[in-house]
Amino acid sequence: MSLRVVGPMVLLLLEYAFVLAVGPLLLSLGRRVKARSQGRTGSPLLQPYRDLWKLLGKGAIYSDTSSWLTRWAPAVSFAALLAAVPLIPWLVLPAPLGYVGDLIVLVGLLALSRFIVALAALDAGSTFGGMGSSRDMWMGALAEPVFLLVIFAFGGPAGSTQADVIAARGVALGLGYLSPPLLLAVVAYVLLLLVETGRLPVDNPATHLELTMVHEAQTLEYTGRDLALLEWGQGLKLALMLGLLAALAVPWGLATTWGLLFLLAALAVTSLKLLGGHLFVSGLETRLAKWRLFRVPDLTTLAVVLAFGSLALTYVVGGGA
Amino acid sequence: MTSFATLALDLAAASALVTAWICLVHRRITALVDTYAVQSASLAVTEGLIAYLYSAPDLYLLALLTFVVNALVLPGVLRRVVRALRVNRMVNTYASVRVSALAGLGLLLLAILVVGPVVPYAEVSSAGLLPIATAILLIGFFLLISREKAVTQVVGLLVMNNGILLAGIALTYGLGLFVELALAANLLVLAIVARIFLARMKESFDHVDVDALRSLEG
Repeated sequence: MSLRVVGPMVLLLLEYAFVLAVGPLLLSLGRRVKARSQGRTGSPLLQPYRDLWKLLGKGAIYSDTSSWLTRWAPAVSFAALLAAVPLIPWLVLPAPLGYVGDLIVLVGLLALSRFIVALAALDAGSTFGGMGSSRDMWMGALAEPVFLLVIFAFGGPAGSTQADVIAARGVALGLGYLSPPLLLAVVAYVLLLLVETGRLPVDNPATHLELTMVHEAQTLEYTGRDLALLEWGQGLKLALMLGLLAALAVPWGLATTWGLLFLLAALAVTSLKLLGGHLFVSGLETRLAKWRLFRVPDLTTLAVVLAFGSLALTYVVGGGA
Repeated sequence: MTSFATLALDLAAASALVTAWICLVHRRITALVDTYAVQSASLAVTEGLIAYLYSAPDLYLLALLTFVVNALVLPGVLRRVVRALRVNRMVNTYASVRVSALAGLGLLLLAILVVGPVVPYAEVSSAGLLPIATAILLIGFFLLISREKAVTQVVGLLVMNNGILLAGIALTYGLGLFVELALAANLLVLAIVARIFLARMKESFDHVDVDALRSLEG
């Protein structure tokens, strides 16, 4: 095989390794920030890796009343998230497999992952699973149209819904990429990220109080390697959402030429962006209390307003595209 | 450097718009006042950048004035009013929060539609500035008419005033320093009057809901 085939494959493997490794770290970083703000030391940064290792070594137990759905759901959900990884430029522009799909596909894959977990949580017939599924699908119904609108807001000026095309435009323009529509779209995206990844005003990822659980309620039925996949999947989803934000909002630092040094630099810059982004989100979380469930539409409405305003400023005022 | 300042100017104006929208979705009065303070600060930054870009030294003074009066003093007064009055801290609305947010979007579109033709004649050559300023003005007006409590209506008036300031600067570098100074002084007086008026209102009627003022007592 020639280098033109092997190169992108190696790069893709590297990106996968990076994203899979950084997901749990982001989760534990968020927990650490929250612990520190409450005057606790918090668990070690590597704790999620140890948990995953322990859980992966254990077998799974299934409820007698559950069907094949419960057995398959964690793998399908994880696979859907894995399939979304190449759609985002992590290190290099253009992304090695970026042409296989655009961000609408990404929204679809996230929806598939959400859908299959919700279905599996209903499968065993436990009350909490059903409640969590119901809430999660409701939030999904609110968040997904907004997600598409935000993608159009980002992609409008570039005339594309493909993440690496949008990011390439940003790298080419330099600081000139910053504009009022971009600012509006970024704020809308951050609001959306809170809903999509189940962060604090919407869902408390640390809670085990049944009445307020959303995502936790759906994983109650799982143990062992299935639970490991679901928890790893949460880290992966967080990394995906933050990686997309990094690529669309601050695309500078992505390597545009091939070379080991460029690659290492891009790796460092992307890690910094992800960690910085998550520090910001966790900082935001420590300042917020959980909202009542029926206030979630307030958040998504604001995101709609911001994204639509961004589009209006792009097309009517800026004469973009 | 200049292009960077132009960029920063656009971003500061856009963040003023974002804060105006956020004002529409707040349900607690103190959060509303905090957001107003952030908006005033970004307005002050916008003014400072215009002063730098168009070498208009008196705008520096205006920026400083905006920062001190609109971002520090007025929010401080309002916070004290809220604390002293011990009114229910929630924002009561005639239009629901979500409807308000969508109306805010509609107001931006209206602003773009209405002032779009005027944009080429504005002194400050930034395509988004005038529509954004007009949108902030309209959103302030909407806050004023759609909120029940006097304190929130004062915030609406202040947001509206921020929009007027920004629009004035975008069109003509402001209304002249002395007019602006008088305006700032007026605002302060307004805040103090509002403070006393609200205290009296609370004392006489035990609430600050203006809707209830329409019927006669006794």
